[in-house]
Amino acid sequence: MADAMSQARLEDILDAYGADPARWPAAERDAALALLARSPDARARRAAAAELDACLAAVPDVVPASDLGARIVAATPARPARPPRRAWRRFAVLVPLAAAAALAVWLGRDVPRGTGGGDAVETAALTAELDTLELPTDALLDVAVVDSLDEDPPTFGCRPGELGCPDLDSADDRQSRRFPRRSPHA
Amino acid sequence: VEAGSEVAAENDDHLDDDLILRVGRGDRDAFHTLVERHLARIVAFAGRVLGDRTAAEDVAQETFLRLWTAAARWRPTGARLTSWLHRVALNLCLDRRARRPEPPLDDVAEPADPAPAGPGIVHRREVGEVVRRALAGLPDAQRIAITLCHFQGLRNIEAAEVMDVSVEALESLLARGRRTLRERLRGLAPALLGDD
Repeated sequence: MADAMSQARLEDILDAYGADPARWPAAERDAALALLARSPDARARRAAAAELDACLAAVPDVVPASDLGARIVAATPARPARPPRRAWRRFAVLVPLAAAAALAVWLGRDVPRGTGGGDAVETAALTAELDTLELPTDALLDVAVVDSLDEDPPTFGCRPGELGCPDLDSADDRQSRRFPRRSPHA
Repeated sequence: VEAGSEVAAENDDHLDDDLILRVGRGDRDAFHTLVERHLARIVAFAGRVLGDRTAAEDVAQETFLRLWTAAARWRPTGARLTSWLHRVALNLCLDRRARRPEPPLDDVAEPADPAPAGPGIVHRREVGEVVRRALAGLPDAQRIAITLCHFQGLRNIEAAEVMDVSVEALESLLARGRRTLRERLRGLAPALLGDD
């Protein structure tokens, strides 16, 4: 059974959301309807809210031109811009391989010629691509490697639910969980 | 919102998620589908905020262009596309309003409506115009709150998210706006209700 609702709270709801229960906060709907069922004053208040709803319903929509959708699609670039993370991913694959190759060179540099010298030349070439790395283990300290370990974009500065920002709310009841601090009535 | 419509909304969200993922891979057909699904709603929203159809269409075009550009970063983690589109559109509307002074109410373009006009429809249009002007006379925040909740059908939490305010602040904006409208439109409603 729904918690009892005060007349004052019902009036707040009617003032803010109007007479249609579909627009009321879901968590309070049953209690509001129960109060309406037993209170003539509440019903009179709801009728007044319905009058304003009827006025608002008379306002026509702004309707887009019939070809606007096609024009928008035609005006877009050929491909959406790719995010920079893709480049990091490709680089992230190369760096560990190069690091392993560099490690092999490092460990094998005192080994006499004739024991895998061809491989050493090949891996040395790979290492040359990483010209800022002096020691093989430096690759593990490279920023690209550290970044590539984090598949999620940074949360700092993001709003929950914004495009590209992780949303911790993946549960069914978004209405009650997305903004728990802000929505005692939602 | 009835349970059935909540289920339908959830199915719509899943469809949007699928379409965005395809758009992120450069699928133009999926983008066209997304535009067709949401365009009218975003134009209507921008039109109510700006009071001008041409400007509303410009805002809608820019909103969808941003969706096209950003779709590759979309991750289906529960964010609703409708909220995101409204938020982007609102920011674009406010930017536009900041750059250009608001036109006098008499200069606001009439919405296109080619429907034939019988006596009842003429009366309703006249009333609609009076209400539209009353809405246009509200402070921006109150009008935007009413537009999001009443006309766009967003839930209170979604509208609060779009406006970046608390739900309590949203309720206060709604109540003050509706109270002002009730005062300004006193006497109109009985005739309107008689029309129906």
